[in-house]
Amino acid sequence: MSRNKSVNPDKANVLIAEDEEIGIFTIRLMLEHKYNLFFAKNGAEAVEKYFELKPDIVLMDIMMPEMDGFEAFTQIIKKRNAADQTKIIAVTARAMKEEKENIMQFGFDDYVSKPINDEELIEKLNKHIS
Amino acid sequence: MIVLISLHTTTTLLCLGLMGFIFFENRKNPLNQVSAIILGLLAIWNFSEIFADIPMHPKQIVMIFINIGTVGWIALLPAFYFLMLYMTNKIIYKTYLFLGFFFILSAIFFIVAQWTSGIIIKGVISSNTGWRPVWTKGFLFIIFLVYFYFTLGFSIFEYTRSYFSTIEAQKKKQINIVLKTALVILIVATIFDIVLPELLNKPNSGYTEFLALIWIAGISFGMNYYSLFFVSVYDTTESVIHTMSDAFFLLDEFGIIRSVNPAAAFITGYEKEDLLNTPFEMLISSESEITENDISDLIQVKKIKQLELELIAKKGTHVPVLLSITVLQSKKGYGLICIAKDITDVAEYKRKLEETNKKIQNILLCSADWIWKIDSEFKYITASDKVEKILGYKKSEIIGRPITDFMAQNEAKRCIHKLEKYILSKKQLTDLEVWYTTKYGRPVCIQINGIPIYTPDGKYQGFTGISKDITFLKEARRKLITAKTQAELENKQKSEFLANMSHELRTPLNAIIGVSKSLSRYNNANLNRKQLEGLKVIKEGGERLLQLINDILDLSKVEAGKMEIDIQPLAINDLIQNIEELMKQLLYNRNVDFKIKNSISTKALIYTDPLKLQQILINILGNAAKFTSSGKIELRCFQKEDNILFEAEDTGIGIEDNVLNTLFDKYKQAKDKRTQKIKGTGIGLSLSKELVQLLGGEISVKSVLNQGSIFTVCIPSNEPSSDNKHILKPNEQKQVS
Repeated sequence: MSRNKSVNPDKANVLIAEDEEIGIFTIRLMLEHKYNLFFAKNGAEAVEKYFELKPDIVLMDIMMPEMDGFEAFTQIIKKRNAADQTKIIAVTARAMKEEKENIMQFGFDDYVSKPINDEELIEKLNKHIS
Repeated sequence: MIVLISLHTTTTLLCLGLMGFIFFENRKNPLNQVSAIILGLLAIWNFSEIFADIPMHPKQIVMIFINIGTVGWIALLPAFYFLMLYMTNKIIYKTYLFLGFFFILSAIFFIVAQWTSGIIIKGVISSNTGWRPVWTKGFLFIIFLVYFYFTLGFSIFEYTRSYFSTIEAQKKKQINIVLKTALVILIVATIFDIVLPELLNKPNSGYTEFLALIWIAGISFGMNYYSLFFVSVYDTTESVIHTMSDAFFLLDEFGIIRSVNPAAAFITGYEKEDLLNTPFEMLISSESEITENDISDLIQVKKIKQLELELIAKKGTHVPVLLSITVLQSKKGYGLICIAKDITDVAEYKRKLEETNKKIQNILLCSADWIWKIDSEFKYITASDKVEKILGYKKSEIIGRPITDFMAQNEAKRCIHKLEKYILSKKQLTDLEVWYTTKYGRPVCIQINGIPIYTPDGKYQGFTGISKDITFLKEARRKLITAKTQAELENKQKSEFLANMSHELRTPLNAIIGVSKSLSRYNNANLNRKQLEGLKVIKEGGERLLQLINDILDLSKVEAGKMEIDIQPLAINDLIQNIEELMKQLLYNRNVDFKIKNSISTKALIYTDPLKLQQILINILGNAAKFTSSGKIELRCFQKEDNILFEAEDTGIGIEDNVLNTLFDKYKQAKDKRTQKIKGTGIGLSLSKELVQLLGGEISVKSVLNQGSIFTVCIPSNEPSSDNKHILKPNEQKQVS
């Protein structure tokens, strides 16, 4: 997906890794009036776009084709320089308690379960966007 | 003449010395007493001879000494006679007492006769040798000779008899010494002092005195070599009988008890006096009789016969004894010596042994296992009958064949190797499992427990053991392991499935809820009222589905024992606030009042899992809201002992009696026709029940149809002890409750 048509420099840039069309649609509805949204269809694309766009925050789905969220997260952390403190939030339907613990232990900065509560998501975005 | 005097003096002194020694060595022994008397008489005789040899006048004084000497050696004969009788035949010596008494009387007669008139010996004074005694040749002299030779003959007879009788060897030697030396003296004295002087009409020679010395020397020799006089046979035998622990009975030929020892009294319980002169039969139980045949056999064979029988003690109890009987035969008849050994202990051991054997036999009979023994070449020596049931082979078919013949291929080598290891280490073999092949070719797994056997000097002898057929167990174990693995796998698959299902359901729900919510929130200007209502319905439907998924996941977690409880202090106020807020949303725009009546101090802390408790209460209050179209819902909180109680009362439709019992059962929704239009799956209540139980509490319900229901949740509020403040696993939680 190419750069969004309406990039508003006043709004924060959010990179969203999400493979499912319905997921993309849902998040777009929730967030498009507040943030500039950039979408990646899988982990590999997310890594690529992270370094290309330098977003303010990343929302990362876990279950994605080709490269999953864990792998993408690892690669981003590995490749970016130490000064880069951009937060990466896991947004996933992996909602069971153990799964949430796994994800937080893996190093994600925060966790939002699906179905997404839009208020919760926006609150967390505001909190983490520096 | 001087030679004779010194000879007599020496002999006298020796006799006196020996007499004193023998007498004081063992004065209680009759043998010593008699011997001392003999030696005393010998001393008297020799003492008188000293004076007889000194030429002196008048003749009357010499005569006095002559008479004393004569008395001495005449009295010597009966004393010696007693000695002989005593030594050669102790037991029947009383029967000879009369004869002995006769000899004493005759000796006294001779002594008196000699003393008063000098009938036998008369003194003659010869010119050169001084005074010599001369034999008178009257009637009394003839009687004297008979008396004298009778003694001689009797001595020879007794001496000979002692050789052929059953007297013990020690005693034989003693008799040999005493009688042999005495006989020599009697014969030589007869020849030199009586026969030769008479025939040649010469005075006697004095050799007799010299020979008396030889006799004394002989007795001394006997004392030295054969312990003569020291340990008398009489003493030994008598004291052995007295002290022995076996009962001794001496019976006469009529079976009357004539003598017993203390052990006989002890074993039978009677006094010694009660036993004497009573028939021995009295003591023998009627079952065990000694027949006349037995006794006649004994007399003929002259051996010891042993019988096992029971004596009847005074108390009436039966004492098992081993009775040894031997016959004591004499010319007068026979007697019986009975020695009874108390074998109560032996009999008891025997009985116990038989009992134990019987027990073992019974165990073997009952046991399904078979017992075997193999020799050092691993060949069967014995096997119990049960082998047929296990291996199909008869006992006779396996004995003599090596154990390896019956084992499955490849097993023989391993088994022998193992056995050899245990033989070397001398240890007990436990639970060795070996596959055998039955006669019909079926493989059976045999569990062997055994122990190697060694000779007393440590040489390996064989192996003995018990074999058990564990094929069935083996099979069952294998099945169980398979089943367990399968179950574990299935459980894992189930968990994975649930996780995946959760994920797959959440993804579309995310869209349904998210889109409907966002559309109505941000785009309401573009949508008409109907569309907005539609969005709301979609959203609610999505949320209900989400709740359902969460409940299902929770329930399956509880079932799998994976639900974790996190006990924390909870302020009752926080709980009430949360519930109030949630209920307000739930009952928004509804004609239902919601009230909370709290009688617990607002500062009080409940120790429980706050999220679970809230989930339970929301669940039952949500139900109440569902089924109550108008009226009120009331939540009452109060403390009862250590428990916190929550009562949720509604004025809803109530619950029918017939479903009240199964209300909390899983997968069962109250089958009320009326509820079909009301939303619900029945999972909520069963989940609530499971959660309440996890918290260590109880849930119950009361209901009146068409009037309403009261759900009561009771949970413990105790502060947990410090060591389990951490997250409790549900299992632990159950134990705590």
